Amino acid sequence: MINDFNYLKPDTLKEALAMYAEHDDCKVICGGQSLLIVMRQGMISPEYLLDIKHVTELDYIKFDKKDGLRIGATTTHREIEKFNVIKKNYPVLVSMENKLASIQVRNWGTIGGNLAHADPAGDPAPVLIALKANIRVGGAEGDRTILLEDFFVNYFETALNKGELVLEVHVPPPEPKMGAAYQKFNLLESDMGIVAAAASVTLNDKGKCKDARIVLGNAGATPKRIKRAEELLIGKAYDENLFAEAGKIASEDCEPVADIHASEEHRRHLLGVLTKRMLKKAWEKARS
Amino acid sequence: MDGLQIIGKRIPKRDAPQKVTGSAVYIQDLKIPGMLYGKILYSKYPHARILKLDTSKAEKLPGVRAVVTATDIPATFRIGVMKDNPPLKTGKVLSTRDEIVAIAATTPEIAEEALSLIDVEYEELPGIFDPLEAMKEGAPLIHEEMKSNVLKMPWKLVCGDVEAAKKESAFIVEDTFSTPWVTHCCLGTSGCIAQFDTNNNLTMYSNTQIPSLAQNDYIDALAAFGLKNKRVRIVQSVIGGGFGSKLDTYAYEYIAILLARKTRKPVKIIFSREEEFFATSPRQCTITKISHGCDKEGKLTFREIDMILDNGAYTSWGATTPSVMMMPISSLYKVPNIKYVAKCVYTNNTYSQAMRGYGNPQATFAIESSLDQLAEKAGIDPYELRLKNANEPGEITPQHFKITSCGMKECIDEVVKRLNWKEKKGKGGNRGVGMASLIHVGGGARVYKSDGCGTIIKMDDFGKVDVFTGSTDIGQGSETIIAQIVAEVLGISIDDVNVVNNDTDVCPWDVGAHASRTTFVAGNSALGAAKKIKAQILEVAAKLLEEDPASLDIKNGVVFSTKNNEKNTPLGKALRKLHYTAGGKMLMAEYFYDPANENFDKEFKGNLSVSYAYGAHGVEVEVDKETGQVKILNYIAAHDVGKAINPLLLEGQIYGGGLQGIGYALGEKMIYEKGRLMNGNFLDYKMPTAKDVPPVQAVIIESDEQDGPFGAKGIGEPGLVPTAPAIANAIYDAVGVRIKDLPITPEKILKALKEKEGSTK
Repeated sequence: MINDFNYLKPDTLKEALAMYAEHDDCKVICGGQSLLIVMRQGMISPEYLLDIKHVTELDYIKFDKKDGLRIGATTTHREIEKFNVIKKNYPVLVSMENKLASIQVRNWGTIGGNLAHADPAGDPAPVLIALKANIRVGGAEGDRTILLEDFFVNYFETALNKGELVLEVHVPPPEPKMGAAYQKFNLLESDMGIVAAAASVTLNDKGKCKDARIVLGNAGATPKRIKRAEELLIGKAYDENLFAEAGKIASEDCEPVADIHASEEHRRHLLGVLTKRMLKKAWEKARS
Repeated sequence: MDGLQIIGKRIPKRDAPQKVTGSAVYIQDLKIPGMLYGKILYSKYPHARILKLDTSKAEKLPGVRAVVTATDIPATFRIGVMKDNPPLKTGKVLSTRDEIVAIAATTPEIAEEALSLIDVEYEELPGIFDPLEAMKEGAPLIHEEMKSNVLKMPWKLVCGDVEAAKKESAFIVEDTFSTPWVTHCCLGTSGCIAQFDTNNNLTMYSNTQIPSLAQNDYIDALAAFGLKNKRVRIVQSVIGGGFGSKLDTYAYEYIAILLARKTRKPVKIIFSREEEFFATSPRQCTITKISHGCDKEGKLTFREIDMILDNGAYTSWGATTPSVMMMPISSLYKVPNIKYVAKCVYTNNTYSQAMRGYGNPQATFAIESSLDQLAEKAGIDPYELRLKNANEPGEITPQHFKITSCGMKECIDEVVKRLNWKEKKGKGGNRGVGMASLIHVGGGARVYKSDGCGTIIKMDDFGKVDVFTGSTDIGQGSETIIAQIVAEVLGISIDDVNVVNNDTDVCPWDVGAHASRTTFVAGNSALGAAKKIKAQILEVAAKLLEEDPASLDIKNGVVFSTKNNEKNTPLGKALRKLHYTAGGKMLMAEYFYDPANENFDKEFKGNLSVSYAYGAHGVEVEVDKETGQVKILNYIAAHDVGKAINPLLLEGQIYGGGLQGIGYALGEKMIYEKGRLMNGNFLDYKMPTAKDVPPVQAVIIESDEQDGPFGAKGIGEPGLVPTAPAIANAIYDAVGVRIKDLPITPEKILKALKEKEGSTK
């Protein structure tokens, strides 16, 4: 049963940050798709809820060829999925969103809320990190921008300081000859991933790997980059054995834990398979 | 069957608009003035002695109106099939769903808070969670007074001579199969409101699927509580799914009665989703040792099964599912020699109940998987083996079932044709096909002394009809089916038929929505009542039209002479005439239908149902050998239903059943660790959703059952019976590994593939 709480409803960002600074034991709510679950299970029972749904300043998607993509924190998954510019320039974001829970959840859930919740099984983080995204956070004292991969600290823990909100996700402009792919492994369509892998590959003029990113989901406490495998790829040409080798490294370097849905061994195996497949897919997209 | 106006038509469910718009009143929505909210404190441990119980702090909380414990009930009062379950426990708790204290308060929040103020001191006892462990000599006894953990329900069926048949068999296979706990996942959770009037008569608002039997249970309980000879009325709200879960009465219902009696106020208890997972009774897990034999030509010679069922801590109808398992074991295909022994074993797990199929899915998983093994050993295509041994009309099975209509061969043929079986079987490429058949009761099932259902029909002044039926609509659409049957017989529009099916004060008796019996039994009952009232109408109209009743008929609400169409009268006019004439009368008819089926004799033989439903499912899968993931590419579900009264609803039953079966095959499992449910929520319990529906073709075979209403047989349960073995067989065809333990998860497939690789290297 959800506890009784005091409801705070700011209309502007300034108001929101002031209220957030003022109240202890306060949780931020927007779509509520992550927060309400843990509240209903009695895992947390905050005294205050700060509802930023009406802070329209944070609800935007902007794209500029030089600056890239900027998504306000209260933008819903559904808005991202339906936005044509994203479909054209960052198709991997759309395919990821398509499989994130259900349409009902995507209509409510927001990108800022998803990232701030910091569930290692969350879908957007591995993809955004593979796309080298930054995150802008801010409090009453001002704002700062950090790499998204540095944002995640532990299970359900982020680099947000007290009084800070997620304000914006920034994705750099798409590079030429870059491809990205994401897949989660689950038993049911659109379920939480047992594990997931995102990969991005950028090719040079000779068709060799200039840059690569491998980011695993639910493979540890935070989204996990497999840098040893990324480095292996640099300068190499398309080679299925190479992808298999990278997959092997991924299954070694990941840090998944067993739970009721899968053993650690099975997760490591799957992460290796997904890494191999996503690298191949990303590479092929980069070539086309 | 020619000239049918309403039977056989795709008529949408009558209650669909209410459900879609949210105006349907479920038990969750119902409020009664002055109503209190009840909440239950469950045991913290699966097996423990209660050393101390202190409710004083909870009692003092403002808003708390009553606290009940075991001391509020006579010490000898027990519920359940074996009367082994006190609604509130004292002394020893046997599972984590054991009810210890209940609170009634003015709000659910206060009741919840009061629960947290109850102080219970336990001495934890070692638990037994594995039926095999529980059967070992010297194992701690769950119910000490029973002297054994094995239930005194000796299930044993012997037909012919299995040992002799083994000697004569050319091929024999033997293996062990197991199935997990799975739960119904009703979207409408369990709940009730108990209310006493000033004379201590009880009204129970409930979503039960057995109103008449529940009424009986409550009357017994009231007598035990010192309220002898009281009336009990059951009013059913709209029911958000049953699937067998609401086929018994449970502790929470008796607790609501106790709280209502103590407070003199209506008390509502509604299960939260978590309670619905851990505190309702699921389908039990089974361990099945099976052996099958055939001769050189592939004719089946014997089937032998030894089964252990985890009964859990108490006994509900789950313990009687072996009686229904006997049906596929003895009568799925022609098998002359049968031996079946089953033991239900107490453990400190949750306790089991009926769930769609009533044991048939567990038994059919073992039988149909084993049959494929036998086919392989005998070198016969599994499809041919099935066809060769298929049941036929006119057959009397070893368990003494009299097979009337039987479309099993047609179902098998449809599967083979639509799957393109001969092209696809054994072709490799990680793709494979598999099939499995089913038998189920299709003409009621005499599990009680009666299998009856009553119907009352009354005509109003305008030619419209009120039908009072004993049957319960749990979402399967019986209200629509009954309206169709009555409208067809009376020659009126279905919109002119009002079905009342939710109040024991006005509805006739019925044994409940179970055993796929409602269309057949309640349908025949409605048919009988409709025919009776039609005869009365024609007699009245005959006088009015000065015609012989035999030459009259009704169409579109008009009574007319079949000899001379000009002679006619609107139905309403004839009825008004009857009401407005001195010495007039009203038209009403009742009919009680109890099918001519038989209770089993002492050897568990007898014609359980007057007709049997058949079907065959076929599936094509693709298996990802690297991840173990199974994808269903094509699914054919062919069912012999006698006659489709409403193909739209019937297909719904097949799709729904099929998907429930796919969940059972590939993902669903209640994960218990030492008696504690680890995945009691929809995030962790992997029930398929609308997005997981594969391409399914529902194929309807009409075999025209002689005893069915318009030729129909039951279809409530069959849709999920052969799903799991069909999928298991297809996976074997695709990648050569047989998973014998449901659900077939990717991890199990990978492990089996690894083992297979290891053994061939």
